[in-house]
Amino acid sequence: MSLSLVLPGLSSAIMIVFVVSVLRRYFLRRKLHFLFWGVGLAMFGSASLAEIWFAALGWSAPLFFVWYLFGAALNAGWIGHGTLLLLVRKRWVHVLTALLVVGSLAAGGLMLQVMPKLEASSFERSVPISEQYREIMPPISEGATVRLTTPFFNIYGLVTLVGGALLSAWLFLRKQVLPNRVIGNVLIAAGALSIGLASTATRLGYGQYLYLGELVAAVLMYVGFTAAAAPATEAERAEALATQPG
Amino acid sequence: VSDPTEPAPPRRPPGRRESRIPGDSWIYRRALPVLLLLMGVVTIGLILTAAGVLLGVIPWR
Repeated sequence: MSLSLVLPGLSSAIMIVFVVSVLRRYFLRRKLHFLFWGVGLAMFGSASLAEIWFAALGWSAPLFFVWYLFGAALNAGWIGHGTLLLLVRKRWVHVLTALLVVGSLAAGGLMLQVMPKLEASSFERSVPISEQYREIMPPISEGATVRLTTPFFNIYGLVTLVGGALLSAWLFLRKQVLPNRVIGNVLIAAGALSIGLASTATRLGYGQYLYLGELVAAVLMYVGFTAAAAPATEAERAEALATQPG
Repeated sequence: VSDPTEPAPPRRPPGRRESRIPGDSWIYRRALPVLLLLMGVVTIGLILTAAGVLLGVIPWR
């Protein structure tokens, strides 16, 4: 079994558990940040599932749409926006929420425009999609303007997700409280940086590290989220036990 | 990520007391602040790279 199948397979399995865990919290507590995290993580997971398909079954145009739009362009922005919604409770954040949703729809529209121009004949099943998408997609000058949107979403996601996690970790550290949340936020930041580094390398032509970066990110962010969300007081533990089903 | 800005109530009943970071821990006093700083630097580097690609300073393949 090839690494092109194993690495996304492991990432997808972790992401499915992660998404279920986050969305379950959203349905229990109705906090918007859980919804944005859940949607962003589901985008991440769906891109990993698309990678499995490419390695196991071959080319699929709809899954390339999913892989590029959700995996390369949008997921970091949505996860990061969830962090912003948690940390900043001001009205202007809802303006950013609207901009993110409208920007994501616009990116989806640009992606639809490029679909008829894809060069599917150059696809090779044995090569990871991250190493060959540049040959499949036309350049920006020939209609792939969706590629221009990815740096905006990724810079926004990096600033909000990594910045938010580092800020949270630093503030808890300075207050000398809640060590689980310090460690959890450090792991979340490290996971986000892992995928950020791998994505940047992919855009610069080194796509062979993307699947590994995704797996490291999935593991670190899930462990970090679990650590940060763990009950920190006796009362929280009792509350968590009381809300567990069964 | 969890809300660090939420103000803590001045006095808590025993069951709600927050767990505290051990004051003599080398990891929390030395290693983690350095790690946070390093990750901040890497983040800025990634943002500058993405901005460089967007502005055409760094070649985009």
